[in-house]
Amino acid sequence: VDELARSPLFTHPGDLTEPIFGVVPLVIALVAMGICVVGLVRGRLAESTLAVGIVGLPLLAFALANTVLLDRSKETEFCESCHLMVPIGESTRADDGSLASFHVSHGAVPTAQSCYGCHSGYGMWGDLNAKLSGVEHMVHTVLGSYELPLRLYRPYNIDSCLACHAESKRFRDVEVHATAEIQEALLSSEMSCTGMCHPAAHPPEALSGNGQAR
Amino acid sequence: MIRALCALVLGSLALLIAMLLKTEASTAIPFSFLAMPVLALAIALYAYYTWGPVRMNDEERRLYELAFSSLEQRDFVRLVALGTWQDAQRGEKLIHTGEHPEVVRVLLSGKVSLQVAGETLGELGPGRLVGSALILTDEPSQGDVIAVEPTRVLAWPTETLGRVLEKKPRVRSALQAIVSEDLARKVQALSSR
Repeated sequence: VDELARSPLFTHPGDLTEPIFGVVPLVIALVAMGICVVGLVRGRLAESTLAVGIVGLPLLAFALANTVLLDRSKETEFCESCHLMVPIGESTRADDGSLASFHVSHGAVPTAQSCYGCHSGYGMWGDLNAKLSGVEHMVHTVLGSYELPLRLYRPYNIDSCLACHAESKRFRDVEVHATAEIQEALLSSEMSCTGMCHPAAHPPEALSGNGQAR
Repeated sequence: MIRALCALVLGSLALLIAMLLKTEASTAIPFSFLAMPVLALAIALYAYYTWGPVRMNDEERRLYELAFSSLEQRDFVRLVALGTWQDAQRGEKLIHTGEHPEVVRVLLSGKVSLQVAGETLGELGPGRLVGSALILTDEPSQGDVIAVEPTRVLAWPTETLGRVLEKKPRVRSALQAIVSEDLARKVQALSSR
């Protein structure tokens, strides 16, 4: 089974350019670190060297690295590096009947970016909001200020669903989706896709950390 | 200051590299909450160091007004940082006969006299340079320079000063003008004896 899972057709093609973008900021950071070590040992640097070593190269390294790192932080693997997210990640791959696992098992969202695919919102601001939420997650992780079971900070924005479903025939053919009251209730977040009509996004035991909390 | 800046940037870059090599929560948290703020702090310190207000203590301000007002204040403060403040008691020799001085001094307070074979050729007071002519001619001193009262000087090792001035032509030319004026005043004082 493992051999089959690794066969070329079953392997995600990945991003071939990414390793190069990862090496460039690494090299720039090392050069800047060399200059800093000289400055640290000698206690002085020429003005131009100081400007390059302290400001120019580090800023360039951070700017390039951040583009790579922001991309890498979309990976499910990154989300699951927080122990609290592990049960949720595992459940999405378990085909356990939850909405998330249904999407993953049907290839409706890329497995490698399944968290980001549904939780980033739609459009440019969706990406930005996802990153801000990520920072919020990290603050709660550092402070241990999260509560179980995990809940969304705010009602789920169904734009993420509609980005794929809005124009699909199967979605439009469902009579209830065309009802004005239902549409209004969904768009105003009074009602959610999950719960009444569709299964919960994640199983409750996964949201409770499967006993792995703290 | 430069050591502190280098240490801060070095630390933030180390966290950046850790994050690049292993992108996960354990590196993302220190990277986001430490590396980026620390780099921002280092750059703010650098900007302050480069463009911020120049602060001089009373001694530095007095010396600046006495001898170095043609230099930009920031250049002067950096120049002062290269030197060492020294105190000489009355009768103490700053330069001995036959010595190749390795430092150039400028008097902040007090007075020194130049004595050749027991005869006093002249006296130098606050703001005057001591040893600059010997360094320029690369010849040994023909007399003693002796403090005639408690004297406070700022002394620069000539090697350090030369190395720094090599990289700062603007400061070098301003200092050359100061040294030339000082020499002209010494010659004038000698010729009027």
